[in-house]
Amino acid sequence: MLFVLASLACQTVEDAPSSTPEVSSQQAAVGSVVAELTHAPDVPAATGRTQPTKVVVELEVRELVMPIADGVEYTFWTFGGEVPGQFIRIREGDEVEFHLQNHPDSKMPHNIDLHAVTGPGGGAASSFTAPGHASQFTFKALNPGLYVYHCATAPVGMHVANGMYGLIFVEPEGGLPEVDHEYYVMQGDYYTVGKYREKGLQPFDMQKAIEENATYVLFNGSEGALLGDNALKAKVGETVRLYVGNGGPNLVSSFHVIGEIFDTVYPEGGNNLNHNVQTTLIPSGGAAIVEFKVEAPGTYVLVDHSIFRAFNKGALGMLKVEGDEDLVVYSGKEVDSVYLADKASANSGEKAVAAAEGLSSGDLTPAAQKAAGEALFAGTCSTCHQADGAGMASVFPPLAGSDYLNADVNRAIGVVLNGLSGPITVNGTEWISVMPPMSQLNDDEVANILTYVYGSWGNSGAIVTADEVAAVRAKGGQPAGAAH
Amino acid sequence: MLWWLLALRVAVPEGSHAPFYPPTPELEKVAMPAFMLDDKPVTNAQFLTFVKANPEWARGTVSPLFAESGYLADWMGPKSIGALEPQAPVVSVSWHAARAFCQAQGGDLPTSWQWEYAADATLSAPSGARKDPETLQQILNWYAQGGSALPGPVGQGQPNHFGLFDMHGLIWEWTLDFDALPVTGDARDAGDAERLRFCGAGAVSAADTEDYASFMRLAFRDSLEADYATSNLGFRCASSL
Amino acid sequence: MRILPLIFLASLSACANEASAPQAEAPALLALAPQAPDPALGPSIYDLKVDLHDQNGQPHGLDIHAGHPTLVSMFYGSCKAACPLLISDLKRVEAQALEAGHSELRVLMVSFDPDRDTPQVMAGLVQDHELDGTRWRLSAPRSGDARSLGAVLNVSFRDVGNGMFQHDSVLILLNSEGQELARLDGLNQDPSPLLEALDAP
Repeated sequence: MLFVLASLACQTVEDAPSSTPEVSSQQAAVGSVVAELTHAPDVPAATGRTQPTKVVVELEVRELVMPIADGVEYTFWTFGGEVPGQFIRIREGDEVEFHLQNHPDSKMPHNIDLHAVTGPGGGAASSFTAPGHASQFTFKALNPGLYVYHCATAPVGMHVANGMYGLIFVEPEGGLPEVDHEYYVMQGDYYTVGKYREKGLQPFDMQKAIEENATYVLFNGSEGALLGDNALKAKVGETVRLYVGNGGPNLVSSFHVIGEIFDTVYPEGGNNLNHNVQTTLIPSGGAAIVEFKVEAPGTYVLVDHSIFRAFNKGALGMLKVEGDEDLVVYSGKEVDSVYLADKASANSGEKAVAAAEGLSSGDLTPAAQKAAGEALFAGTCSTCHQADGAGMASVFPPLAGSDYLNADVNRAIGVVLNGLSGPITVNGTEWISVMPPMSQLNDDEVANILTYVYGSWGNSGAIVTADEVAAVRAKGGQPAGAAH
Repeated sequence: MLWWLLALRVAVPEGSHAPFYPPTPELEKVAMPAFMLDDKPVTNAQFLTFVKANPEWARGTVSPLFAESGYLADWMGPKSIGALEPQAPVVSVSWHAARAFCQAQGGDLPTSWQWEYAADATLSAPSGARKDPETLQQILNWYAQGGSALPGPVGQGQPNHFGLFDMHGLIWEWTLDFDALPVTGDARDAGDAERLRFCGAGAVSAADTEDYASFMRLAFRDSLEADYATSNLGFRCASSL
Repeated sequence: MRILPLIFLASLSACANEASAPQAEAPALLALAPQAPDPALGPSIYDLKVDLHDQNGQPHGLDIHAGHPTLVSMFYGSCKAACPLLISDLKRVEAQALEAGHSELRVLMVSFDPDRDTPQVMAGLVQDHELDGTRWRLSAPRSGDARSLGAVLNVSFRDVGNGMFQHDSVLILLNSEGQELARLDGLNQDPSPLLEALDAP
């Protein structure tokens, strides 16, 4: 009986010429479904429903040690076992029966504040749950849009900094237009006692968090979550929709995809549409939907365009687009010529020498230096030069059996410290490429990496000391081969 | 020898304590009379002795009013700890059971103020742990680790200035008035209702908003009910001098 | 409280078993022996053994009103703000229950301030608020037991000095076996959940 009445009510609403949230909220929920939740970067399929229903959501809180970067672990507090939390997709007018389960192994109580909830605390008080317990509350999704959810248990900042956030999308009536790919990307900032990429299990650093001095700024909870094999994928001519959230806890994201222009942005996840946008601002505790069509093949890099976060704190992701080139859309490199400009008069003054921290290479045996260098090489150098030092044809010169490398240790130190801009000749082949300065490495780390490189792949076996690195650093330097 | 069954209760001298959530804003410090407190958390072995002498507190026998289903879940049987470390703190123990244990020894659970006052001692001074960045980081490190491993034996580290072991870094501990921040009820009488559970409100009345360790202890206690048996939660006993 | 759904399932299967018992006896058993706790509800708070004494100085247990549906609340006598309102809320529920024919209803108010709430103080409250002494008991536990009572009733309080307490104001309806049927959190709430629970078979 109730069902029949409800169906009639819905039809009346659907016949109405326009829909406002007020009208939709009057719709009675029909039936019941269990929400399908996805881990990033996946997004649940569109609900496809033409009327509200009762949706059961079950979300489990786990406290888990997981990698935050290569060789670096962190204790994440998660909604659903990963960071960001599982994506929840419902429809405007749905009645959501929310179950929050806190795993018995948890050390902390947790709760959830869904920005999609209209009511005090967004569900926080009703979902406050001790370890080994579960809570239930129900809300009606009155407003469509893309919303952040997060843990709001004291101390809130720490719960959020440990990864307790995710997105809930409340589809507007009628849903969104169909696209070829939908992906879920969420930025967060992290504060560890050790510095960026310092190996081992890194505890949360409260002081850095209070000072908003992030060690990492990451998409989807770990450096590399959207790199290499994990890159997002599309084909030329396809349309892509990204649901982008920012969990914070502190930083606002200047979200940008290098080489793309967003055809459409739903700023802050709301109803207004903006078109032809280069970079969209995503507040901490906020979200945006961006849509674009990929016209040219290649790799498009997702960044927080507060750009030091991208290159020194990890805020990088990739979208790999396969397909045929369209030279009208993008020609590729047409001309390369040497440009010297003010190189001759460029500033060669002193640079502040960063105090060396960590293990001193003077205390290490060459073998230990090599081992330490190998770990650093894996995170820092192997992306371009490859793990076997072979480089990549026409882009990245080889380090294996490299005459350029073996000819001059001090030059090699200078290249690591100051970067290098081609052309150079390595093993008889000319390379025109750019290597950025590795300024995040201290003297010991540079010494260890080079000792590893010289001791591998048929190279000279030279041992590089921190003192040698310090001497080169003290001279200051310019990127060899070009001015910037 | 059953020497380890003897809890050593040490005197915590009188002093003053700055409550993290003062009952009234102007009350920055409260006088703390001296009291006695166990130097270590109660162990599996000690609690087993208690259960054998008081079978109404055995798993399976205890009224569900006093302990939920996870009570002493790690024990092998109602009166057997099996292969568990006897010197590890008893956990998954409800407030009612913890209190019954303490009362059987002529004591009671410490109040939250007593516990916090005793836990603020550093290795060398009667107070200051809450303000000491290194101590704070040690505590935060423990809170930040996952909790799937059972706690190790008690008394392995250094005692604090009062001679108390394991106040930080081993387990959470019950207090007598763990639920004493009213969360519902009349606004006129319960002015701080809900203050802890909400995002921003948590910081409004806290004495020191950078004292994250205290914040977490309060949030943890606030999430509990007296029948809960939680896997990282044990207790120690107090008594008056 | 949160394991209720499981218990409820268990009770369904228990009922199914009882259904196979001789049909004729079942209704009579139900009518004559209402003392068995209902497995669909939580544990009986009467499992808590505490010594109380009432406004007449008479000692009794927590289960003094066993066999009657009972309204329970916690209070302190020197309270100037919430507690008089709490008493008037309880009186209002009592009056509406009597109107609905529930003369079997009893009221138990337990103090969390036994040091000050002597029988004389509590007898004064009974007189001032014109409470029906045949139905109402204002009682105090031994010092220290108030915490256990608060724990089983889920009523929070803390002593803030100067004889003042911060506390929840809660009205709880127990069935005749001491199991919680309904509760009102806060003062001046719509009492219908309590009255409906009282009316339920």
